[in-house]
Amino acid sequence: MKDERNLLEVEGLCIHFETNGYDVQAVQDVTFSIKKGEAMGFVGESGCGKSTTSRAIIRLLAKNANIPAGKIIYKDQDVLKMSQDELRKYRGKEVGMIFQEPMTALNPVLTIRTQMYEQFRGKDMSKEEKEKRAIELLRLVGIPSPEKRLDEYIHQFSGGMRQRAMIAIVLAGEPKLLIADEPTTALDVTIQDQIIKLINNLREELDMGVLLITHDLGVISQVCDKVAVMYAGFFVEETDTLTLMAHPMHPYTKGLIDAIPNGMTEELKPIPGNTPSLIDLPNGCPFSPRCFMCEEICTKEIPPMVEVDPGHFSRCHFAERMRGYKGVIDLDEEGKE
Amino acid sequence: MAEQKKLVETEHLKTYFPIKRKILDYVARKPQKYVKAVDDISIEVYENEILGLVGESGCGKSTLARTILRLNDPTDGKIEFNGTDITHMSNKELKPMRRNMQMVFQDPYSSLDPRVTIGDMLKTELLYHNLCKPEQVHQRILDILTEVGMDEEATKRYPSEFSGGQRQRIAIARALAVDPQLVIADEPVSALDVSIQAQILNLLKVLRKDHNLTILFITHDLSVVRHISDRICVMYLGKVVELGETEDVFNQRLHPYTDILLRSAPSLDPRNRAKKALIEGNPPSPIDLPPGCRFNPRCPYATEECRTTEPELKDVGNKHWVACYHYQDHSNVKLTL
Repeated sequence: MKDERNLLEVEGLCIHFETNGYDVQAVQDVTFSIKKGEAMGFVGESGCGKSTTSRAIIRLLAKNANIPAGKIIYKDQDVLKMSQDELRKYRGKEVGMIFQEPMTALNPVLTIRTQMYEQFRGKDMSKEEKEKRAIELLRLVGIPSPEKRLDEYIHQFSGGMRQRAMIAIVLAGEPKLLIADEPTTALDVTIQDQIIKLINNLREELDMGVLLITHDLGVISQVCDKVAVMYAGFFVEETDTLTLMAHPMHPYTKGLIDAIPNGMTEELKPIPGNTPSLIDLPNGCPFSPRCFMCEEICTKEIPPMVEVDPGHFSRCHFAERMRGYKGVIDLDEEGKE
Repeated sequence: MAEQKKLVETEHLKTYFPIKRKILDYVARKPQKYVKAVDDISIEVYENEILGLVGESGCGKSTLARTILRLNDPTDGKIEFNGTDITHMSNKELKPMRRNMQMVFQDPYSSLDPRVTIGDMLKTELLYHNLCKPEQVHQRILDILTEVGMDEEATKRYPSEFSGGQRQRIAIARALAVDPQLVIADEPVSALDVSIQAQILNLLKVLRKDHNLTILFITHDLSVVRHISDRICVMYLGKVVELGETEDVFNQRLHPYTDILLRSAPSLDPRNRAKKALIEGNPPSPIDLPPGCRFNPRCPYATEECRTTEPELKDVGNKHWVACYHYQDHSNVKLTL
């Protein structure tokens, strides 16, 4: 390990939204940290608060959001207390974000060149230097004939190329932390494979921290060192990726893994029921109505996040019972290929 | 295996979409160009089977399905449904046929009319096809809803009041209401969360058995297709490249494209991380197809022959079809990259 200091620290973060008189508790008591060059993943179903958390990190939340508790510390700076001026320096240059839909995230009436140059603003660069750097970046993300494509608009690119162009534009700011919100969800598997490898290689080359948000455990496995499983705004389990896949210690994680078709079982084991509404969370553990080992205490008290093994946290009253449950991979067996 | 009855048969089916020509193209006498979405496809769908149709976006899988239903008009070739040639039937002639072929769409948010209650929707459908007497309609609706796991309360509610998974159940109920023989499911689970996806997949399997349904299941998700299908048809740029029993296709991967597609799916084991993407670039445009085999520009095994003449889809035994000169069992082949 080179740099042991944390790049980003989030502590006890809560985010509420006010809509039509309701108080939507989107994120509750979220704590995590990311080191330089480390990749962390958030996984969970739609509405679990994974995107909200990531948007809070670059202060892109809607106006009706409020943060009643928690801290976001980036390199000793309190992100939540930053002024607009400080935010301008922080966004893009320190933390960059790539979105699921490049078509909506990038400006359709500006060329790639213009959008790339915006990132160079404030830097002492000549026109030639800017152009050279822009072409270099497009080449780095694997866009063929970058000299020509620099003056094209985003709609002239194909799906995979759009995502690459967005990554190149984000990289132009030389962020230390890259947040990727479902970067491959809209893409085909072959293109997804290319983007995953691209993110991995860039992370290694530029020693960036990565925060990847996805609902696909496969993508997490291929990119992240550690992972947090989110459910109804809570972190329910957090550990390194390998341990999570081999020995999940929360019934929701087990449910997620079991629900993936693996070609072995005749019938899938879905998690019964639906995700709860964030306006009206069940009492006690939010997962209790769908949980196969729910007991009385689960419907009364929200379980604390406990460390079941060193570095392995689970938010379940009966996490110990999950010991011995085999996940989707076997640690004793060597990885294939 | 006993000879299975064919429900759908297509012979050299072609669906081309003409590209709008600019006025200058007329002046210069440039030839009319076409997007060859479905190009000479001959497949058979047997009764009571689930045929999975896989391929990247833009490979023509949806167009093929829509052409079979005559939602798109074929350019050339023949479609037989249950022994009847429906290629050139008028809408009036098709009406009684439509009852036997139904479709479930990908996005349950846009495929249901937001201003009609679920009860009214199903009622209209049942009465249109004269499937039961007006006094029995209510009972029939309840039966259908129970089958897909919904209750009576749903009849009075609007689609917007349901979650994604529930809407997809309703969409399936709508398809089933007329007691069809063939259901085409176009990416029915890709808009859903993993835990809900498993519920819908299980439901489709049960319904297939109970109603003796034939399902043409379109998806880009390979784990899903492996789980649900009896046979798989892999498409690339408007052509079928491999067709066979699910396990044969998954285990042998005779066509290099099938192999790459299967390997591109992200592994759940974090120890299996490759450095390089398996395949670079995008599929070529379906307007200007490369000569010879359509896959040759991206194929690691391409030879001179592949670049000049297009391979035919041929039976290699055990009802396994493949369109490649250099097909081989890829299960043990290590790709050198």
